Amino acid sequence: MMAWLTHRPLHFLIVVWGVTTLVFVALRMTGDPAVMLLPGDPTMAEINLMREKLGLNKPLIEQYVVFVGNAFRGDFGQSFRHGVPASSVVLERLPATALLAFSALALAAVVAIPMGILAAVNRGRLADLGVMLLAVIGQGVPFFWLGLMLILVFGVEFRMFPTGGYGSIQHLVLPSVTLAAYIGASTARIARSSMLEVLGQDYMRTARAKGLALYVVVLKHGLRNAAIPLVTYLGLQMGLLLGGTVVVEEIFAWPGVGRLLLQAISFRDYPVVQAATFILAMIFVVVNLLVDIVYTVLDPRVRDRR
Amino acid sequence: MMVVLTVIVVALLAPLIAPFDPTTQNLALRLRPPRWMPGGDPRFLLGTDHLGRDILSRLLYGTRVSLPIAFAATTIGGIVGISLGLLSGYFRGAVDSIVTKLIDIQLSFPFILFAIAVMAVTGPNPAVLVLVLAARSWTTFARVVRGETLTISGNEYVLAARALGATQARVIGRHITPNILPLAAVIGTLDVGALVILESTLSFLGLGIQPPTVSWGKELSDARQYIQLAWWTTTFPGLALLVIVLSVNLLGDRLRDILDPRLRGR
Repeated sequence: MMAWLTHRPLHFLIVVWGVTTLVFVALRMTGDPAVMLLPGDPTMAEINLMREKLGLNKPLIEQYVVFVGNAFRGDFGQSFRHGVPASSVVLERLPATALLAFSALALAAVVAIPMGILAAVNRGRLADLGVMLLAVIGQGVPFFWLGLMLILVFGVEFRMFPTGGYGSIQHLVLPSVTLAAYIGASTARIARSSMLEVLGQDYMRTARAKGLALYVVVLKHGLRNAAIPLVTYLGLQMGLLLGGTVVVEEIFAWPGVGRLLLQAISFRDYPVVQAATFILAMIFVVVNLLVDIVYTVLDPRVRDRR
Repeated sequence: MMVVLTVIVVALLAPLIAPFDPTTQNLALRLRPPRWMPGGDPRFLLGTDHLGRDILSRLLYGTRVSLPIAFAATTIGGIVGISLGLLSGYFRGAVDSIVTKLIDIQLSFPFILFAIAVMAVTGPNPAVLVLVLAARSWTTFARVVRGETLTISGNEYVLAARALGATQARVIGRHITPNILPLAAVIGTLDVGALVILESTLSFLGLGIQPPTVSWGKELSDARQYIQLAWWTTTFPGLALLVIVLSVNLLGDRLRDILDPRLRGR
């Protein structure tokens, strides 16, 4: 257990270091930041002055160390476009992204898990086929197109929900449904197969044999055991979720980190691109670490085996 | 299967069967609804887009982009992934721990962020796009092939081959690889579907295929602005994507069922 608890954070440190290095290399690949920062046609003297200011005249190794140090302190430099620290621009947008991601995750869990259970309990029957059909289609739909179709039907045709923007529950509906569908299809499949696994166990038969009602057995004995792979899976979905928010925010004009990132890319606002990528990656890494720990603590079998 | 074949044939024959050049603009005929709608022009079966281009022709030409890019990426990802999977599963030890660590690291990072970052830095370029997609695809191959190789290496015929003095290369090439390939075909098929979606997503964000090449993802992002006026411009390219991805995925599922009956219905 202790060995595991020290091993995992080490692994995550490596990931974080990899991301930071990637961002550093990417910045160096785009050309001379000093030239990009100066407006118009700068003279050589101006460029050299800017290089000095940015520390670009120092050896690459030293620059790298300074960059990593700054990144871990959350310092990515000033946003070219907003003139304030890049990290504060990103952090300002974070609550909107978090709200979207969590409502989508909750929606996916609340809808997809019961559907998966329903399918498992009714294996081979109509309910099962229906759920599986939905899941297969759900996995094949490009989710950004699903978002557009939702806008078309519920925003344009029926005018039930706003097609974009931020600020009320109504604004949240379409983006979170889109995002939830994105992760929901595979969640339902996993819920179904882990439930099927559990349903075949001896203790389930025993519970039924002693006269407990089907729903008690399924929900109490079954779900508790099927929940373990499910929780892990949902944790792993955070990556898809964070990637998905970038696209969904763009479609629904949702003022989150993802939309900021795309705007920063088109404005060549590199400090913000770096800060947004780094912070999103960091959130992902931390959430996964938490999921891992929670999961280990929850399941005595895993806890003792490690 | 039939659908997949049809799509491939369509891609090959697009210039012959498309009623119009997909890039011919005609602003006088912009945003015409599909033929069966009031105001529809009989020449344009699925209507026209915001520049008066025939949507059906653009859809047909789009198959020449999505599929080849996804195939190319899966092939590169497959070659890299299968080789690394074989090596790490067969030799274990240091190679294995490096490969598994690489996979772990890549899987613990939201891939689309990586793709967006790379495409933003290098600028949209089909070759880079293929490499980025291949970078997404190799991990799946490597993980599964590694596991399978571990199992196969323990089989008696592998031991027998080694006992008879076969070289390592021969054991891997003649005795292990043939047993891996059917599995790799399944992964590859399922992967093509995923990569078609990923490519269209990147193109949708303006980071993938650039005009004048027709990409359904880019098509959708252009059509977005006219969603209030012309539903057909957003509906058809998406439907086309859905059909391709679904049929490729179903083909993959089917292959898997044939290969491994235990997994049927899971």
